[in-house]
Amino acid sequence: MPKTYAGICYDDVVRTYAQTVASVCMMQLNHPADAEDCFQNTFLKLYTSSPDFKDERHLKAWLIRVAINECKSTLRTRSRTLPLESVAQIPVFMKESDADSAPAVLMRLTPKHREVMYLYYCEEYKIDEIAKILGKNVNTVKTRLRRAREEFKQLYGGDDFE
Amino acid sequence: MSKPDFDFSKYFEVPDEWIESALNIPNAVNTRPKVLPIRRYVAAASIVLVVALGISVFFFFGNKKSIPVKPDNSGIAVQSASESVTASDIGGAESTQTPRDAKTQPATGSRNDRSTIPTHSTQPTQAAVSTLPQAAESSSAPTYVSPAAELPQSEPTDAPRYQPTHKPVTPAPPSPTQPKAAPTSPPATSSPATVSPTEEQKKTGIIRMPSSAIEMTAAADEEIRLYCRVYDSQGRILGDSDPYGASHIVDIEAGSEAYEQVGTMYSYSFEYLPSQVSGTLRYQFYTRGDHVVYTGTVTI
Repeated sequence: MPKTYAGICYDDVVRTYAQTVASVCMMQLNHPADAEDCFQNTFLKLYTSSPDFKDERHLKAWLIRVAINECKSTLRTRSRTLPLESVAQIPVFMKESDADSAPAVLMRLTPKHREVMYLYYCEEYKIDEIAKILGKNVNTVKTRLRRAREEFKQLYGGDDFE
Repeated sequence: MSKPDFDFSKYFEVPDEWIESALNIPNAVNTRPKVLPIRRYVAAASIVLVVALGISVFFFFGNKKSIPVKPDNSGIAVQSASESVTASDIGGAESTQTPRDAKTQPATGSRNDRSTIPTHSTQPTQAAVSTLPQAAESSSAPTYVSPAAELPQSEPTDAPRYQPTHKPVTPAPPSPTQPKAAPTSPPATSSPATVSPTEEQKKTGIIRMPSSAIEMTAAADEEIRLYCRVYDSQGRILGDSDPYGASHIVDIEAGSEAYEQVGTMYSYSFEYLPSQVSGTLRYQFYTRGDHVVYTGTVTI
């Protein structure tokens, strides 16, 4: 009998949340090969651990959290080396014409600010949900988000977003 | 400026290879042969083994009793006990010396005459000259004083630790564990024709020595313990102040009043059987390590 996660079989989970997990991995690592490894490890853990999920939102949050942890583990292992892609002004998955886009500017933020901004604006999580995913205090997330906005404004130049 | 668009999917689309690989994970996991985590088993077994070994060693050595401490019944302890007998133990007792025993007394003394005070000279090898105690007090020479005059005559409550014997030649060594000897008085129901056995009373001799006669150098705050040992004419030890016990003579501390005061006396008392001891006794004052600091003689 095939495994199900929140009432969804494994294949459907992969197809549904592949974009989310891949985006998280690329946002964190900006390195396609490492991002693919983290992507595969995330779904491997899903299959091997088979946790119980309340609903799909819980499933999605779990996948994002595991993907972020995998990316941080990868960053720790490669802390002595600096990929060439990470120093590029434009993310590797973007064209030069998209250098001024919001995701491109987002990738130039510091990692802590980047993940908070990504979860808040891209995945549209609330602050308390971000705090649960990252395992941080709510006030910490608020502070990081405020500072990330200020940094983003300086790089992006706009001030009409909250 | 327009509101920023954070839609990542517009710029990054998941490669199909990634999705296919993720979809193949169940097949890869199921087809992969399960390998026993031998390392984990070995590690767990090692931990269990070490813990079990530690517990067994703990209980093995924990059940071992420590070396039992036996009560000190050695000769030193017995000797200490005998030396702790004060002169009052025998001072009030009626002497039961036989006439033969009385022969060993000095010619000037009777059975109950304990005021016979032989003295000795200040020189170690010089023969002692008998003097009276009044003369000894004024003299700086070490004296041998009988304690009869200054010790109480009452019978102490604790039992005397010497063993009266009818064979003075081989007196039994005193033992604190030995039961108290029967009184020397003959039984009342015995035949009147039977001669009551007489038992010899020990006498206590005191050797006194002026501190000025012994020159010792002591460092500041150094404590020197002085001991005394008495030999009879045949070289047998009649008494020793037991260097390993607490019955040392006196503590000398450099700079103390006892050390510097002229006329301070060191005294040592010992017991002897008058029938066995006669003539000249030799005594030594010594410090720890048998370092003899003074040798003298005394005549009984």
